[in-house]
Amino acid sequence: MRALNPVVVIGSGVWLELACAWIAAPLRRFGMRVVAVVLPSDPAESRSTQFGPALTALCEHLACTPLSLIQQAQGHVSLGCHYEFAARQGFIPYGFYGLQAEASEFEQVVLRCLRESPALANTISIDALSVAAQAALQQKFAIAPNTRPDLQQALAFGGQMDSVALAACLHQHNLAAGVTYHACASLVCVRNTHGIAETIKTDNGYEQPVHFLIDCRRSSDVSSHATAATPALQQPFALRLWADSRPEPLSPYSSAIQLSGSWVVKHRLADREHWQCLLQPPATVALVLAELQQKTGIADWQQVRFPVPKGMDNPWQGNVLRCGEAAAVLDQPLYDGVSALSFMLPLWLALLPGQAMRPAAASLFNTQWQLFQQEVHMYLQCHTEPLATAQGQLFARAGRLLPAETDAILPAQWFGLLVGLGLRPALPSMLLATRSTTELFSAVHQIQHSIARLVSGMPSYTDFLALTRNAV
Amino acid sequence: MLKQRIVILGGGTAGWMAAAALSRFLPSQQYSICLVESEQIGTVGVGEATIPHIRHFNQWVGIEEAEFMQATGATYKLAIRFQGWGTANSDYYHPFGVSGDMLNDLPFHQVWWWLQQQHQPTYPFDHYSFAVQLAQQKRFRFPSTDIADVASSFNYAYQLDAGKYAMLLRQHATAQGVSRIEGKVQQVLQQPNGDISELVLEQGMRLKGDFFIDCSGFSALLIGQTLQTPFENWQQWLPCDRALAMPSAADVDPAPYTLSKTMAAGWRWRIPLQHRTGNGLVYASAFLADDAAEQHLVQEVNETGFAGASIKALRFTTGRRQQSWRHNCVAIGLAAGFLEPLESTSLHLIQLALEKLLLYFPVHTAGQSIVSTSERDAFNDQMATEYQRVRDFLILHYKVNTRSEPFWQYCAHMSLPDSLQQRLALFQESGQLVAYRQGLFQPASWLAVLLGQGARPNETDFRLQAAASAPYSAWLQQYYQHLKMQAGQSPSHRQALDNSSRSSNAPPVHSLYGYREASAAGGRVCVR
Ligand SMILES: Cc1cc2nc3c(=O)[nH]c(=O)nc-3n(C[C@H](O)[C@H](O)[C@H](O)COP(=O)(O)OP(=O)(O)OC[C@H]3O[C@@H](n4cnc5c(N)ncnc54)[C@H](O)[C@@H]3O)c2cc1C
Repeated sequence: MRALNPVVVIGSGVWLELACAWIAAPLRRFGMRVVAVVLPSDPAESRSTQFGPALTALCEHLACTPLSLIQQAQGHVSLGCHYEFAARQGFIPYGFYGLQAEASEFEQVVLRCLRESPALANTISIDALSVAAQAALQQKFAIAPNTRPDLQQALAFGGQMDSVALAACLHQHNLAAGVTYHACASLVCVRNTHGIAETIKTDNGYEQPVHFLIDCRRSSDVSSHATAATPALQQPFALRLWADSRPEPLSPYSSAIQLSGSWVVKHRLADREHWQCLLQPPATVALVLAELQQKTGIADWQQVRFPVPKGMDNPWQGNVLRCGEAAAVLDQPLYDGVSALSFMLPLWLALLPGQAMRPAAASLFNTQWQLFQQEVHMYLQCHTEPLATAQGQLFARAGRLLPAETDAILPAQWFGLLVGLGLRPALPSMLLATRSTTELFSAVHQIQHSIARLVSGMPSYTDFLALTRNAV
Repeated sequence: MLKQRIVILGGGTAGWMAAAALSRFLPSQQYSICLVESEQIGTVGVGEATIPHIRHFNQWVGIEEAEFMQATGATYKLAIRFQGWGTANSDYYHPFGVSGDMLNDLPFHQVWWWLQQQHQPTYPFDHYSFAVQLAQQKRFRFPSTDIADVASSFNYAYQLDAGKYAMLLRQHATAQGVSRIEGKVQQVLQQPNGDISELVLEQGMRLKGDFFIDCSGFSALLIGQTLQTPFENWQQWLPCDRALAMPSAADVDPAPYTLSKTMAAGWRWRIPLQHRTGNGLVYASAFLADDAAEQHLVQEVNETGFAGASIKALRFTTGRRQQSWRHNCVAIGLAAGFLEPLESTSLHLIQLALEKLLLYFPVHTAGQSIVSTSERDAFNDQMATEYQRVRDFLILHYKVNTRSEPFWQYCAHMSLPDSLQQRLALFQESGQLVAYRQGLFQPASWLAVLLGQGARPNETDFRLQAAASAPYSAWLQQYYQHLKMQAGQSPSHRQALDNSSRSSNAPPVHSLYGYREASAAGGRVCVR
């Protein structure tokens, strides 16, 4: 049997720990080691982290429950995000709308009702047609039993967590999974003449041969040590603004508020609410601060300036995966870099590089990453100019979504966003053309009632937390 | 209110499938549907092997399985048996099902290949498929919906009489209000903006329409001849361009699979139906003369009982229209494109086009162009992806071969589309295949063909390096015996056909490979 060098993960904070958490246990099962080389923390790292339903898959790897991880990471569950758009409000859930995941044309039924009878449409709210949205807005929460996979999907949840606490918690899991850690102030990557990363050398004299290098730095250039790095004088800067406020009544969701040229997002953490906003040039900071204060009541905002991430279309090259740099470009308050990492690392693992050089796997990985990136970019763009995107145009015309090539954005998120933005399709569904509007309204009302009944039977989020704490 | 007039040109399988589906969903108060066909021109008259999605289509348009089996003389289909593909003496099945299970989170084929490398006894890859075990023993049963049961690891389709199927669809469509006009379209009139406005028939009759469905077959009268939509030619990758078809007598004991057997410059099919057997030959005219092809087919058919029927000769160019929806016209069926029948995909592509058309169906607004680019682009993009992915899968059959004849040598050395090149390179590198989000054939199918035709990855999965082979070997042996025994206890295909008018079928599932594959929980085994 070949003894392979370890997979070396470099970076800092929650992204480094998360990368290790995704890969350490599965690699260990097959006799492969993971070494983490920890660099000083990155000021651009956000103080809170929002995970979507990929959290459940991560917890399977870690052999813990999502709830215990969230609690250890000083966070709260999240059934989705409550949006305050410029002109209206809405909830964007992770779980599907209606009562059946695959119910054909349910969304079309709703759209037709909304479209056809404005008077009756007032009796329908799309938030009332999502179990998750109803539960969240009533501050309720429950985890569906394994015997109800449909309800589990309807109530799919993620978590909003304190980044430092989450990193510490993942660190413990990683140690248990055999990850070894080395801290340093800086490092160089020694490559062979073919550009393959061979060894990591740190400033404090540590040398680690590399089978594969996973680089979680937001801004890195492991190859730049071979060629002198050019100072990025012209590089534009982004500004992350953040503030904390006192916790309000416990709610299992995050919130987003639209500003004139940006968004502010609030994560509910165990001991505080954490607000953040990302500004890209040419935003005028003073104006944004004034608007932030007006919308949130918070006057005191902290700031960190960092170079606008350049993005990375081909993060896997040779035996190096530059996932930090790739994820950084999607790490905006409305989308979290951990979701991008939680796409890349399982995919990398599935294409498991037994050999260090896997050009075909790398090429496929990069193609998949580009698709993921495109879908997230389109989602983010849709927040401000939906009709400039193919998705928004198709929805406005036919009420349909483009086929997704990845799970970057779940169908319920798209639907919630587009309807929340006020888009209504011009064309009715022909698959429903023979059904009368009265019949459809009655079906929708029935589902609305069933959801209301279901949610009324759920415990409040506070009671749920108390119950689970007692159970532990 | 003025009705929106939908005109379907063509009464082949595509035309009648369109008529049956549209008349099922479009309210007759708002739409009139008229189909024009010409007996003088006739239909292509082939298209007998299908894939499981047709069950969904039948259910969609309201055709019961028992009625369907009787009306079309159909048999059940579990697989395609490929003989001579890859190597001259290969013989494998591409089933509507999966082989094996995930073992300790490792794909079954990786374990199978690793055991072979360890010189452990194994059966051919396809033998670990329940559908193949049934097919080999000429047996049939309906799939189970219980994912703990091996019978949940497959799905089934039909082999049918295309003419009879078109007739059955016609009955349904006309009962649902579709009007039929017999006549040959001689001229097509357009609006100044390019939209089609009228079809002028030979007898002088004029047929106005708001929306046209071009099901005129290879002639592509509307999408091609009238709207001049460019044709993307894929012949450099799929060089066969001719076909011969001839029926022979029915088998007493019909096989629940389609046979595809190679010859020097193409391949031949054999499709057993209840009342006859369909035979045909698909070949490349650049490598084989027409008379030699005919001789070959007759000789082969004679070996299994010649019925003396006439031979139908067909010519085609593989490829597709760059857009199947232009202006107010959607092309469906052979008018939209043609991929040779190697994997029985044409009726599926028709079904898919209809499903998508209904998703984006345009609505008439008086005096305005009824179609916008959004739905047209969505339709065209999605159909392009589906065609391209089926195309890649077909090319795979030709590319992976070590045969010596000039035709096969050409195929082995031809350059590939990038999309296929990338998939093959990944398989070669590590035995991995990635599932498509859109696209019919998933890794189970690719593996059946790749491994069946002798392709092997360069490396075994390194995760198995530290594993002991004995428990895996024992699992495979036990699984194989279990499949074989379960298959042996199933009714013969003949019995199943005799009962087909009263049996209760399994509900259709939107996976080629059955419930287990469609369920996230299915097919994971722990081997110790
Ligand atoms: C050799 C071969 C084998 C095949 N095997 C399979 C298979 O096993 N499985 C599978 O799924 N598919 C198979 N196919 C494909 C399948 O046959 C077709 O997709 C299917 O039959 C649909 O054909 P169509 O209706 O588009 O065209 P056609 O059957 O050719 O029908 C065209 C219609 O248009 C009418 N028409 C044309 N011009 C005019 C005009 N000017 N005026 C009036 N009417 C007009 C004709 O009269 C006819 O009714 C095969 C195809 C070939 C060539």
